[in-house]
Amino acid sequence: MKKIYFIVAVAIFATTSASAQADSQDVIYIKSVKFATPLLEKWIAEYSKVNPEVKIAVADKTVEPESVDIQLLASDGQTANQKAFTIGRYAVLPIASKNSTVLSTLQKKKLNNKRIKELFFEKDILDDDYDEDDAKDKYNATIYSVVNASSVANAFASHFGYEPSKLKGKKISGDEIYLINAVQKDQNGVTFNNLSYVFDINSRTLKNNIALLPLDLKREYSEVIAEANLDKVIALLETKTIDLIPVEGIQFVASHTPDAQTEQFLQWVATEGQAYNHQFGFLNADKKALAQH
Amino acid sequence: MNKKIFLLAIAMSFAVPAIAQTGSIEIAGRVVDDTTQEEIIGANVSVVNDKTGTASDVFGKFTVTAKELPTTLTISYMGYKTLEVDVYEYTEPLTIQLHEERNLLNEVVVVGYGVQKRKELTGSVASVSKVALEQSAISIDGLLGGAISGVNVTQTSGQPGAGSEIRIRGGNSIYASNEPLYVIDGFIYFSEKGATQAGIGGIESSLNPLASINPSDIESIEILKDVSAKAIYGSRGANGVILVTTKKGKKGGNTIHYQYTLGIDKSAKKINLMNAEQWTKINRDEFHNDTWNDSKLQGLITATDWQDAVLRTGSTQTHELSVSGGDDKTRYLLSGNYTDQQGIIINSGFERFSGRINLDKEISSNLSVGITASADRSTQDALTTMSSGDSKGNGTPLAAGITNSMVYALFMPPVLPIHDATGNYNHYNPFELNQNLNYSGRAVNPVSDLKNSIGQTLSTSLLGNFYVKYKIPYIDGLAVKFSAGTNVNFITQNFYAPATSALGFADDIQGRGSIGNRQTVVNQSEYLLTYTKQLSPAHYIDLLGGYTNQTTNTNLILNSADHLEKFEEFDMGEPYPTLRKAKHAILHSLLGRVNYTLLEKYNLTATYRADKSTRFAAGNLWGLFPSVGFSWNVSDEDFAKPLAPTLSSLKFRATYGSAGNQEIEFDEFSIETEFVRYNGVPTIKYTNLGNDNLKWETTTEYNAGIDAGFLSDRLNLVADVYYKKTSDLLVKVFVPFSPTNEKQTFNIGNVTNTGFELALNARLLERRKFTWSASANIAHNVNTITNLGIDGSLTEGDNQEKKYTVGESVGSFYGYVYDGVNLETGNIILRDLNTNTRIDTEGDRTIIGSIQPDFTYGFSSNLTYRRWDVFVSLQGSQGNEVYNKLRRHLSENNKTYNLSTDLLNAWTPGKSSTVPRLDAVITAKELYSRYVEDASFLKIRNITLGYNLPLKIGKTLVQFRAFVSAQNLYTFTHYTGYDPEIAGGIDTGVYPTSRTFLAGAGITF
Repeated sequence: MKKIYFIVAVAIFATTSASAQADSQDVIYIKSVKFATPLLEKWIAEYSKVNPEVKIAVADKTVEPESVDIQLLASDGQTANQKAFTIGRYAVLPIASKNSTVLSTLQKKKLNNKRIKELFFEKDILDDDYDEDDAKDKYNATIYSVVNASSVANAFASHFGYEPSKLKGKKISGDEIYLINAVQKDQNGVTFNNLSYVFDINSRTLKNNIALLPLDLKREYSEVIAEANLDKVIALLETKTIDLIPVEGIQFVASHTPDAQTEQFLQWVATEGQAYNHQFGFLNADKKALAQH
Repeated sequence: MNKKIFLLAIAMSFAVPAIAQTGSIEIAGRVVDDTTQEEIIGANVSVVNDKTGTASDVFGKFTVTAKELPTTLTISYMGYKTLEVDVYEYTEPLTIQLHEERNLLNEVVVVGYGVQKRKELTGSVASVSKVALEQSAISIDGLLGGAISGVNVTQTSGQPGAGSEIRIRGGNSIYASNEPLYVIDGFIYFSEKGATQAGIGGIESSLNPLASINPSDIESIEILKDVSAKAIYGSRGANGVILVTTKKGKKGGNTIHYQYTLGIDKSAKKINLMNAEQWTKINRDEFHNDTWNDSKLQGLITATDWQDAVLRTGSTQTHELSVSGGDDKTRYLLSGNYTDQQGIIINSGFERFSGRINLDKEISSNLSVGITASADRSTQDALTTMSSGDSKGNGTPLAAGITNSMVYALFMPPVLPIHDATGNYNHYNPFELNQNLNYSGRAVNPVSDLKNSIGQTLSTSLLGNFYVKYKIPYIDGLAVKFSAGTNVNFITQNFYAPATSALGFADDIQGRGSIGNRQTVVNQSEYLLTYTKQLSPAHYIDLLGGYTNQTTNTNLILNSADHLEKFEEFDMGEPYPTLRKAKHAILHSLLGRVNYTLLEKYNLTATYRADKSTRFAAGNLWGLFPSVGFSWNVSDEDFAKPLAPTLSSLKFRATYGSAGNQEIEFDEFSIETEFVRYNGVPTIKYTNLGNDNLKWETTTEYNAGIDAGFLSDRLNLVADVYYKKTSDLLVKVFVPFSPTNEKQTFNIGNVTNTGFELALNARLLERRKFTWSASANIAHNVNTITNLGIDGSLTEGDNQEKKYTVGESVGSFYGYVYDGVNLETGNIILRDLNTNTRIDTEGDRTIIGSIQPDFTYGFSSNLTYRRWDVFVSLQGSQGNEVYNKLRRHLSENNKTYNLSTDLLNAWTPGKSSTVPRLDAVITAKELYSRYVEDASFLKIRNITLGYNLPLKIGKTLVQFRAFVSAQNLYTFTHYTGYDPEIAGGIDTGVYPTSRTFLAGAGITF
């Protein structure tokens, strides 16, 4: 019995001292939006291989906010006093479950700008583009979106000229991955999400029981999208600007000038690190943005 | 070694779950309005699976605990769409944006003995807007002017602490009260006639009975206008019902609010009077007044603006402090208020200390109790008056139009100084010929009067109501509620008119004082049974049955004394016999109501109330008041749905029923006597002859209305038409051929009120940083006497200024028709209606105007831009007349008092004018239309500019607000008196209304 106590004591000591050790080292903590975390972890892992002396970690809840060196945010997340480095982009596509009733409705009339607004947003009588007929619910769909402040909902809503609060339907709190779960369960469910969640990044195809809502695009574009191959979609969106598909940047944001080690890491992400963007469902940052680093 | 590693792994695995097994997950967040991003205080946040919840605090923040994730939160707040949020994981505080409910019909409103969805209402129930309730006001009636269609609010006086006359859809009655019934947190609060007076007629303004309610404690005000809504109050409801609900604490933390307001008050207008030079020229040179030869006068001649001498810049300050809060089971609110107003006439003002406790406690899921209690101490310093009901008063000056010292100041010759050479008040006035105001070379000085007279009313009141509510187990929807309350009010009135003052001047008075005490205790108990149930998706019922009783006891003691040098030496004076009165009334009521809704489209309300009042003769004690109402939510019909959202809601309403009025003296059906001496012999005088047949005054009413919402309810319209017939009018008249002027109260005649009301509310702009809303209302009412017994008419006033006659409205002016000035002689021309070539009182007088407006209207608008907000409200009345009696006294052949500057344009030979010759004589004291003025007006009631600043101090979020406000800023009117708002329609020179500029700052945390 005494032996067990001893072992437990040793274990607790070991974990706390390990933690203290980690803290005492010069670790670069990076806080990240959830959907970009896998990509960030990949960057850190690959960077550590070539720079083992530099300790970089994703900041979890246990890390005090003041210890966080930089943040990886969806664009527009920075405040006026912060410096931002765009190192990738994400695209947002509208989706539903494969058996969704909305899909059949939209096969005849694909989603154009007007219909996206009809489907997803509460329209106000004073909105410039208000149309009485549009305001009627033609789709019988339940829209799912997240309530969190930093989310693709911001990107999606602002792309179409709305506040996120104007999104219809049900709200969820947490990672946007749960939007996928929601529409997988709900045949009337409709949502939108970034490519890294819409696609299985291993198989490069759509996740189970998920379908892309048909967009009213030029045939050459719609064929690529309909093929539902992650790499082809990324290739298309990196070369063409498509009005109906919001593409926004992800950025490292720092409230002060990064130190030399952090700067080196950022430079690495902006160059070698870009090679991993596609793998994780992100578009590369455009060259102009990278050139500004 | 392997064993050790295994044990180590087990130990470590203990360490990790130990954290997860803390069991519950705290979820924090903030609830905001999605448009304005302003925090929503008191939103209900519940964890659906765990059946727990909380409410957002003053900063919209909340924290709830969930047993596990995922879980679902429901966030709801009245007026907003309920939001469900599925929480899969919790990483950061949530920001919950609630969307304002566009459909006004889903709003819940307070109705008699309960609440109801507006969608299910059949009656006409109007709510005072929240933004109007947030404005600075000293009493409730200050919030109502122009706010609601069909509610006509007339200030009775500018005297601080004075009340208003409120008429909902015109006046029904001639003699009984026309004031609406107030219900404050369920307690029936009707101010009996003279409730704030203690029998002293020498005090001009009575204290507003509503002054004891602090407006900043009010959460909502609903006005029940039509019979379906108000019939549940039966005998008390005929004049409309104003439901006041005070604020409750809200679940979730504590909120402290403090606000300080400081302002200045100035008379909104001055009467144009002659200055010393003008008056001298007319008085000495035109009127050839011999008084000017008085040798003593020569040393006194000066130039005094007596109006300025009695007016001053007043001030207003208020402190408001409230602490409120609560948890899942308990809600509380404590508030205190201090108000101090220094009036714009010297030595007048109002001071109030008030406090409130509202407490609600849920003892178990079935049992809840609560109490609302308020206490206040108010002091009103008012003018003394000569238009006295006090039979022992010195009423002689009244004949000259001198109703109070302020009016006497207007009359004072501007050549006389306020003070004499020694610095004392000047009491030498050789122009004053009235021996009751000038005797043996010593005259009344109105400034001295105002400084030294006392017209004080002290009110101490307590209003408390306790309830216990129990939901009957096993019968879902069935609940019983008992409540008991009391309203105790002590009034003390102190009156003192020193020997130098107009009221104490007479040789046989030489200083008079009175002390009156009135104690009124109203006890009320209610026993209610309610059953509310959605029987099936198609059928919803809400049943109410109950019994209530209210007893009212008043005791009055009045002591008066003459020959008083000082008020403090009251016991040294020559006393009058003590007047004592004790009265008692009981009202027992049975009430029932059925609300039934079919398919959420068709609503029926049937109410029945039976009242037994001791104010009526045996055999007529019971009054029965039924009503029925129906409404149809047309917009929920399939055929109307394609019209949405252009026509977003539409409801038709129709109601019929009756309500009563018992507001007469407690025992008018019985004989009243008083002991008097007649030629030195003690005898009994009948003051009221009684009436064994006296019964309820009953108002039967039809109402039809439309509620419509357009453009997703951004524009709302409420329109009503109504017809009211009041039968068995209670009228108190002198008994014909009675030698001692006895009066008797009868049920005589009928009055009808027919009208329409229209109210529009528009949310013109709703942007995150910029919102703009506006409301407008207009009402038209035609009041007609349709029957008045055998005689068919009654008159009112010493010179029969008002006449009640069939075919005319209540409050019609009766007099000669003025046909202008004879351009040859400068004389007044009165129309010879019966063409008998002479002007006589019987044949040449007719109806020459009415106090009833053609229509009343109001407008308000609220604009917010970022942290700034602006509120504007206007009130108007069109087509009503006022008899400007003060102007008559200042305009007619008058050699002793000051005159209106209008007389500077008087007719002279060779000069054409609309103003008669200066010495044109009109011997008749009766009214003639020259002084019946159009009193239509449009008032800028309130303009307020506010700035809101949220700050974080330490860990505490603090909301600051600063504002400036102008009240009664300007009145557009042709009326020439101080103010066109004259209760009763005869302007004898009431306390002028003030223009008030306020600045205030508040803090909430």
